[in-house]
Amino acid sequence: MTGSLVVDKPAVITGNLSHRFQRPDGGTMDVLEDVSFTVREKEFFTVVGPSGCGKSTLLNVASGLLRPTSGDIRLLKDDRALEQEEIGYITQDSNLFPWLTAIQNVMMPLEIRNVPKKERLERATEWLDLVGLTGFADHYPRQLSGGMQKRCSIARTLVHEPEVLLMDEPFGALDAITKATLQKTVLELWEKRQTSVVFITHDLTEAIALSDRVAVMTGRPGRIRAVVDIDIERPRDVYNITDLPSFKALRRELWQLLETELESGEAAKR
Amino acid sequence: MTTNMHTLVRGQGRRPGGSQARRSEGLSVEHPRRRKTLVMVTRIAFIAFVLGLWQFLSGRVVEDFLISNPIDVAVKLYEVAGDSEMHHNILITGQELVLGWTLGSVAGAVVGWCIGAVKFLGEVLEPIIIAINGIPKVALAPMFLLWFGLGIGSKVAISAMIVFFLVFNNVYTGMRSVPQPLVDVAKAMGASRTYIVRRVVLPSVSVPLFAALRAGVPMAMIGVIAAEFVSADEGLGHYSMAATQQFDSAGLFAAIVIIVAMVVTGTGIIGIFQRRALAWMKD
Repeated sequence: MTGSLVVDKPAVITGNLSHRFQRPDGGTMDVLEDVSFTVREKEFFTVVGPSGCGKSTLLNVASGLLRPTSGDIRLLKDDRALEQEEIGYITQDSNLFPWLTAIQNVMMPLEIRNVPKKERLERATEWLDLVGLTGFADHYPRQLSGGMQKRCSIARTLVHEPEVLLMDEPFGALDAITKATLQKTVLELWEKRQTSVVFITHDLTEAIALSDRVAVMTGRPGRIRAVVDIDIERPRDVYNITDLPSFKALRRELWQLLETELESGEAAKR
Repeated sequence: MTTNMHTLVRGQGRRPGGSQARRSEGLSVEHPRRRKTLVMVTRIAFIAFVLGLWQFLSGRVVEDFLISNPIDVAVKLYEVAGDSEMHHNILITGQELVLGWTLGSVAGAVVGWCIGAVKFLGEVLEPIIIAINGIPKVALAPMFLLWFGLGIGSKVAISAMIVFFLVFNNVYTGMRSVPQPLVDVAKAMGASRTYIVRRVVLPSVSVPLFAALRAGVPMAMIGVIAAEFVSADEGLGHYSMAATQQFDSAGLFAAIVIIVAMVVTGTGIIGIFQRRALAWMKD
């Protein structure tokens, strides 16, 4: 139902993407089946779905870590396929280098790209400020809280200004308060820098608060069940978004889409 | 202990901002210092107690020539301090220790790195090296004397071999347990192989490497002394052997004190480098 969607400037296109895992016992398992959607340029696109529906597989394919069994996924800018370096990928683990300080971690992508030392330092400092880590440049990751580590890893991913940002449940392991403040930070950064984002979560509140559109996936094998437009005007107040009547309606709509899915999943098990 | 550490780590993870971090730092400044003093005082008291007990038992409960006593050992140490023959012995053993440790460390690190880096090599050689490691290396001392002569060569060889296996083992397993997610992160950033080795593998392996280098100092000393016991006409092992044969237990204990001092100094020097290289782990 989304494959036919026409957009002026696509950023991410998937076409009939399917992926099948080889199981250790020799059998196979279909994780993704005919997944098609298009993310518009500078759009915040979120995928929600029950656990194990292949959401992470989707991003692993998008980031180039996995090759799909069939179909393809293209990350574009002005009809040009993106290089791997132009894609930013943030996962649930911060994966900071423990032997590097916060600023050294953020400078790493620039160092790899041979950016001059002075510019490296300037840009990394700017990004540390942007994610709210001013004054923590010389702290090692173990000296930072979980939320601060996350901020640092976001700065590290964004410092080379990727064209497309893939986020796989980035705040899944954080407590509710830290999560909300980070959501706010990410929204502010996105509004300022306007990259295309593919965001994966199983948190409906998070999906509504952040996204332009939310795709609901079915249980395994994962398919796109529906794509819902989130018509809440920006800039949004992440902290109090749940008070909006439109939020409640959207949440109900998304939940119903998920619920029928969960019930049919239960039925299938029986 | 483990549970405590766990809660501590989790607690840090939940800390929402900087203000709380600063406060707990402020609290922890005074407390550990007082604790440190207490530990130091208790330690000195304990040493004094043991020395006192030794002094008391010697000649009263146990024959003096069997265990000597602290005062005699101290006097002996003072005597040999100006003795040129003892200086020579210390120099010889020191040389053997440094050479054995260095050769063993370099060889162990290089071989461990190579076998750890090439998966196929590791699969082929790992069980063989484990089997060779099963040999009680000191038992090879007589053969090494045959191979490397009665001079310092055989002593260096034995201690190098002991250190080799220690360092090899740590570097090899260290190479195997470089965190894959971090390698993937660097790869995703477009890092080259040499960059990953320099910035990811090396710092990660340096943790077990330094642990082995430090633990290698006393191990190297065991090799040196054992080889000197088998056959030598100089060195601290030779000296303590001769002292024992002459029922000079004070001489033996004096030699042991010197040996311990050398090991502690060596370990301390490596420790300085370790703390500097692994500053990111320090609290």
